[in-house]
Amino acid sequence: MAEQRERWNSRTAFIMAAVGSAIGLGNVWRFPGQAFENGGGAFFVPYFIALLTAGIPLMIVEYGIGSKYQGSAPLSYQRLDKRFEWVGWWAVLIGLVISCYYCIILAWSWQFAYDSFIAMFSNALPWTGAAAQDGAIGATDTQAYFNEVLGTPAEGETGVGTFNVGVMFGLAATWLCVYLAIAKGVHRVGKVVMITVPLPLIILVLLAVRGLTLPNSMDGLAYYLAPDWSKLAEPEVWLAAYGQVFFSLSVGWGILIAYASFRPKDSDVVNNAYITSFANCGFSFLAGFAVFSVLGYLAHSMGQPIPDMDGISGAGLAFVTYPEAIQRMDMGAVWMQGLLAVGFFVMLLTLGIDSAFSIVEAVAAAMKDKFNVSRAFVVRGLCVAGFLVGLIYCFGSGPDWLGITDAYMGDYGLPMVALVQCIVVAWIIPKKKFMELQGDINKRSELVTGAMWRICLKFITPAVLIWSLFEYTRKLIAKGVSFDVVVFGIVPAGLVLLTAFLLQKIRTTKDEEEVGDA
Amino acid sequence: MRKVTITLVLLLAFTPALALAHEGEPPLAVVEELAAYVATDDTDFDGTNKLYKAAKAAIAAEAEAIEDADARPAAKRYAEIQSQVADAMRRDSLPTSAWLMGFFGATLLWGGMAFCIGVARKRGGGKGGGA
Repeated sequence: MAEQRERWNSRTAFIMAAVGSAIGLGNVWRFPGQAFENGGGAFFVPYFIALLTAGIPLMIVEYGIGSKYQGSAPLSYQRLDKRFEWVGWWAVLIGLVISCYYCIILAWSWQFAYDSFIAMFSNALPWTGAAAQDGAIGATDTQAYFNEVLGTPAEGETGVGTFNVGVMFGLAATWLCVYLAIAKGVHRVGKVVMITVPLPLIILVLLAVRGLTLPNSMDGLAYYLAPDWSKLAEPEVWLAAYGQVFFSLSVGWGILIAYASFRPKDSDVVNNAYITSFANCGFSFLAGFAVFSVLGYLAHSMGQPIPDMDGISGAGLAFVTYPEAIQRMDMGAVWMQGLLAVGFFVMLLTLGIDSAFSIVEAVAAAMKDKFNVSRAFVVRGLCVAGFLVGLIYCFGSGPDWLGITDAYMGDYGLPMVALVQCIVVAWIIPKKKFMELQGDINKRSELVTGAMWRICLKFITPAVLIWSLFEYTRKLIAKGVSFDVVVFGIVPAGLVLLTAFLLQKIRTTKDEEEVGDA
Repeated sequence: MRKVTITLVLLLAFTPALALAHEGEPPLAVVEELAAYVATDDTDFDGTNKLYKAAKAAIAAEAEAIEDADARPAAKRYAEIQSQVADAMRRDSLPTSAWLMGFFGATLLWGGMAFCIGVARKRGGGKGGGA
């Protein structure tokens, strides 16, 4: 008889954990920028269509597989069809690599939050006067300060840049939080997410209110919401919408399979997928108000139209543009500005930390299922290894390497896993098994799936993913191959896939257990 | 499921269509200025898009009637107001189309979530809903 599988404290805990995993930094710094660049309010139309035809169907598959087969991604795939355990390993190993650099972004947030907190008791924000201090010509204070935090090599300087001890401490703090959150099992995770999911939402609402009460905030919102319908005729806009949905829902990481496996076998699948997806996308939508209201204020304050501004999305938005806006706000006292900055960076931290620990949880569950080792041992090992690998990114050139790894793992690897997952489930496994899976999902769900779900999985989602990967490959080829690309992109991507195949070859007693034991 | 689909399809179809219909509508302040410029006492001013179009047509007709358009005050004023309309579309107030798309997003996402949570609560926490 197999060991009794861990269970979530409640359905709410499960949904909160899944929402926490899906909502991450990208919801704040990627979605609003994507909407702005792809037709403003008009972007919502392809975005919702992508959500309904690709995001939610894929999420239902992952929840369905995890719930039916009661195992982490590799074990569930192995139980679905013995030939495809490697798909599960591929997903979780990509996640493991991503967690190494994802945590470094949280480390930057730690440093910004800490420095902003200290600034509350001084007479200036940490980045005030940074440009003049560094002699950085043409750079803003916040840009100069961000470069200082990263240890970015000066222009013309060779080498890997300086090793930043402050970021290293931030990295250690991040991994410690990850360890504390998941080491004791999903019961603890269920309690942690009750804080890490609502807290950033509350802070985001406060930031949105602050942003909307700033002068010229409506100017910014108009860029976010006013529709440019002509953009809908551009294929790239549709591709961007599907890309945004894939990246933001945590599909293809093996996380949702692992999380669903900690629910009883007769748990709802479809409605949980809807709730998770809507919560995630609703958060992104709200984030657009917080971001673009402030951008409207900043644009007016700088005398520059929003389309001409740098740092409207990505790390530039979080670590350069938003701090710049805080610096320009007339709030009466520096401590108020410091408090706003602390709030913003704490929001980033809480947004990112539950995504980070969900990735590690998916790997830990996979290792535990396969090798029957203790959770504490696996989690400890993963956290220490993740911290050590992450040290590479503490060097000044770290952000460049991070970009390369992300291009091959996050932007390329994850859609590839999602595509293989679709093909395996909808095309390769026997039709009877596929229909059984759907029947099983429907039997215990409050909302049911129908023919449309099968059409989405068989045709729409794979077609969009193939198109997206084709376009992305073209761009990668156009960029060319350098030494850094080989070391930080191609080699890790190849090793991850190879390791996934090798892990499938290792047979353990656990592999032979019956599904019914769970 | 069917109810969710029907609601979503209706919202998908109608709200953007409404937004599209209102895309060209300028903010009220600009409409008022246009109306004042046209200064037609008999205009039943109500700030609607229809009036804006009428005012715009009147100004355009006036400008066309002037031989050297750039040199005459009416044409200059017309150009100024046109530029003001373009600016005001993005500044200080939101165009109706933006409000509608905001409503569209909020209804679909937050409304969709609320609906699904409602379904779950109605079923007493869902099938197999316990820990």
